[in-house]
Amino acid sequence: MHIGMGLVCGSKIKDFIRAGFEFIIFLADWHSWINNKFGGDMEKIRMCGDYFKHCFTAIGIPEDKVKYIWASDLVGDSSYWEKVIKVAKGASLNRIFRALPIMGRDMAARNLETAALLYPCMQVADIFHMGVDVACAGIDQRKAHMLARDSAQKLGFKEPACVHTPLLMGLSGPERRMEGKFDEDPSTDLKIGSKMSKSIPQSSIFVHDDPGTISSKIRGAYCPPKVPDNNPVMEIVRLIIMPELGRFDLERSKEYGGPMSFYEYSDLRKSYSAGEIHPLDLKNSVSAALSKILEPVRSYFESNPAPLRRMMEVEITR
Amino acid sequence: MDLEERLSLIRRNVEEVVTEEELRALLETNERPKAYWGFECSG
Repeated sequence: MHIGMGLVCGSKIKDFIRAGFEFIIFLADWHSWINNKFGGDMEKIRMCGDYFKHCFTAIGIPEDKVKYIWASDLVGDSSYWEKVIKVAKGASLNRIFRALPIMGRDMAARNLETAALLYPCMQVADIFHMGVDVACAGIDQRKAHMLARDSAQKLGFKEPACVHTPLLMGLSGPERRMEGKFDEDPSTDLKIGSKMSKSIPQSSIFVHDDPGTISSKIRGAYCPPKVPDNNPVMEIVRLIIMPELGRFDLERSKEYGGPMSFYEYSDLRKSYSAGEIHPLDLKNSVSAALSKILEPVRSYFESNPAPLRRMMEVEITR
Repeated sequence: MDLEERLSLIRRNVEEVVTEEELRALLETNERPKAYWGFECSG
């Protein structure tokens, strides 16, 4: 699990829990099967879902504060499939095709397995079947949620409010890593195409990376001087370090101005834009803060290595 | 935690809320609403 999922999603889930929500982490094993994750091998997919549970627990979302539901838990109920079919009957084939970027598929893709068309309909039916008030996801899932809102009105289900989080950019910066077009809006399209992806390990930080690995990856990250936006190192401060620690400590030697602490991202942004902070000092401080935030995850997997080891074995053989 | 604190927690750092009014109305009327996040299991 990379820090985009573990810490950007993770800290938003913590916000929801603190705000008094009942929070469901839905492990979409059937959807993963449709999307051919792990070659569609359900045993590996479930092992991965189990590993996710351990990661979230390690990140500070204890199992008694959140409810885990697997897609497998829903599919035995015929009334679930009734909802899937109602959604499918209520939406045009065009609309479903346009929603396929939620699976990481090109908008124009037509050489798909027919099962792919079930995916958006199931994602909407999941929301109705679990009776959720708020559907939460990265902005790349927007099309599924808009389909859910329209379908709810048409079919008489509870219409979910939606909260969409930013996508954490990969460490190599704003460049297209995934082939294809994912959104009509060029800026959203670039965000989806640049997001951190576990399939490019040098561009991703994993929640269980050790401090040495973290700092060597951050050292290689795209981080142009004086440019705070579309800068993945600054994005880590904004989306992870500030929410988790409530502050950002810039560590640097006296001859370069000495240490500084920031309590608002906007202040850091101003200083960075003005060239008052050198990218290397920023990077070293980000590595230190990330290592600190991720320390509990490392110690969790040190005393409980089996789920991570199993996951690594599956990753190697796939 | 009062309503405004709950709202600002949910809203911080998000790209968008659809819609702000619906979220506010939900929190005004429901002490324990239900939210979800779905994840594909893909490592």
